[in-house]
Amino acid sequence: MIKLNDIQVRFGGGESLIEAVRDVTLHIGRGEIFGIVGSSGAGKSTLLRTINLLERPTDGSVLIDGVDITGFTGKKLRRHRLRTGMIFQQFNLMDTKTVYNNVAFALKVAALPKNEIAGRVAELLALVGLSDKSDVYPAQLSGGQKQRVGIARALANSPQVLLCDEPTSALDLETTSSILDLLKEINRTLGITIVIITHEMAVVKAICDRVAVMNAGEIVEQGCVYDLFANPKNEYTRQLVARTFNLDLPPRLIEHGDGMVLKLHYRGERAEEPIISDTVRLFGVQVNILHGQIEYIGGQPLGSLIVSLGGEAESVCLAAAYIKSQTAGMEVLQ
Amino acid sequence: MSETMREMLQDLGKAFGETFQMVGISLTLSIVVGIPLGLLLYITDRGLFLQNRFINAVGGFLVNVIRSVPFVILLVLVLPLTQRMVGSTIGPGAASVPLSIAAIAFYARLVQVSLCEVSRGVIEAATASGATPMQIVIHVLLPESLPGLLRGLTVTGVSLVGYSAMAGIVGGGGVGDLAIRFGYYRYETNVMVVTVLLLIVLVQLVQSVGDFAANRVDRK
Repeated sequence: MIKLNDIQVRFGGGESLIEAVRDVTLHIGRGEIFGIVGSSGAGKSTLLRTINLLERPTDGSVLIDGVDITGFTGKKLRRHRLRTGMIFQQFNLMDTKTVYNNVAFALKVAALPKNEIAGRVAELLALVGLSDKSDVYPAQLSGGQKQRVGIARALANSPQVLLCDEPTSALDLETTSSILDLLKEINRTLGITIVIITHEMAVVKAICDRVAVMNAGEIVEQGCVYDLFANPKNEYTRQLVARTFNLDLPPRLIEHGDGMVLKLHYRGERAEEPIISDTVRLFGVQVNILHGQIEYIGGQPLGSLIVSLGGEAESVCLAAAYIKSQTAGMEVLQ
Repeated sequence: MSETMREMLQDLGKAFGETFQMVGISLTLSIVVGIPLGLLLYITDRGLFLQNRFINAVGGFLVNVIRSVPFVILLVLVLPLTQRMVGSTIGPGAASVPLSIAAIAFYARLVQVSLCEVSRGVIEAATASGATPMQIVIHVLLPESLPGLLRGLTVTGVSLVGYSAMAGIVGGGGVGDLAIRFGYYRYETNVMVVTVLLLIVLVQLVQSVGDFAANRVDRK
């Protein structure tokens, strides 16, 4: 669907040359929700903007359904943008226009016949759950409602792709999850490919199918969300993931804890097996759970547990070996 | 006394008519020419869709030149042009030429400032929707900056009332001219006081109408 080939974006020149995006190659499949994650200044926004050419790549090419759009200008470019919706962190609604007119603007741009505009706007507002706010001005809406208007506007001309530039970063947690649910629903019911950039791993975890991690203008790792969380390969990705699985023990527990302290990693179906109770039953050791977290990503469990094993030295050793054989990974902390 | 009063009232009515004429002509021209000029300065600026350094620099320079010439000097400087355009250098019509030139340059800058207040994000969103530059100007830039455009127009109108008084010096007529003729040359202080009071009322009126209109369209 979307292919980015060796994209480079450079700003300025000479001494002040900034390489915002370096050698990025990405394939985004039809109907996918694809995340691009990284800290601010990593070049995510710039990369996203090359897909509708708000930012023209210095080098490389953007292919949509096999058509190279990189050189598009004028009418061709505008037609491409009609088929590509975009929503923004700051919503970017027009303050002097009502919700109705904000959405209708996108339809006017597409030269939709006047008598069809009202019907289509009503349809879009119903889709985002704002039918009753048609005549209200953006200043009277909450952040989440503003983003819904943004989504309605972006979907006005039935795009195949929806680009989301940090769509939830200005929203609180509750509103974030309702906006993410809406995006997921749009993806499922309308089959629109969604590209979403964010600095929040929680967003990636909640809705993305695949994800690319960006750092200093480069894609350092990409893959299925579950794999990335379960088995991050790049150092930067590991840091990002570690921050989501925040399993810091107070030092006194490791220093003065009894017996052996282990950190176990669960992956996939195994996380649902009763490994701890089996260990207790088979080896007669005491297992004390110090810390733990299990996340479900795309319905698959992923988790870590910190336990201490107590009892006879030999049993503890055997129990540890058993646990190691039954889990996806084990570290001895003490 | 009543005879003098009647005479004065007559003069006053005529003077106000002339002031309205001068301010009206220049204000209309500053809308018709100043808005497109301000728009041109804005959209040819860096990073906007008609970025053109040459046009931007030349336009900006012209506006600055006009604005840096003191109005009294401008009055005299454009006399040959006034003569050619109006066929006379005396009267409110003639005075409208330098007034309009100054008002256009002044308002063009205010238009540019108001346009700069429009969020770049909103323009980007319109661009991403596939809008043409013309659609962005008509449906986004002008409506979004309308409160600012109206406030700028109010400021221009108030300045014009002041400038039009200066135009009286070179025979433009109007309220300012009346104040100087009666109050300064003929030592009739009471006439001057009355005209000044009326000018204050006029300025208040322009400002109130402008504020009301701007607040009506401001939805922030």
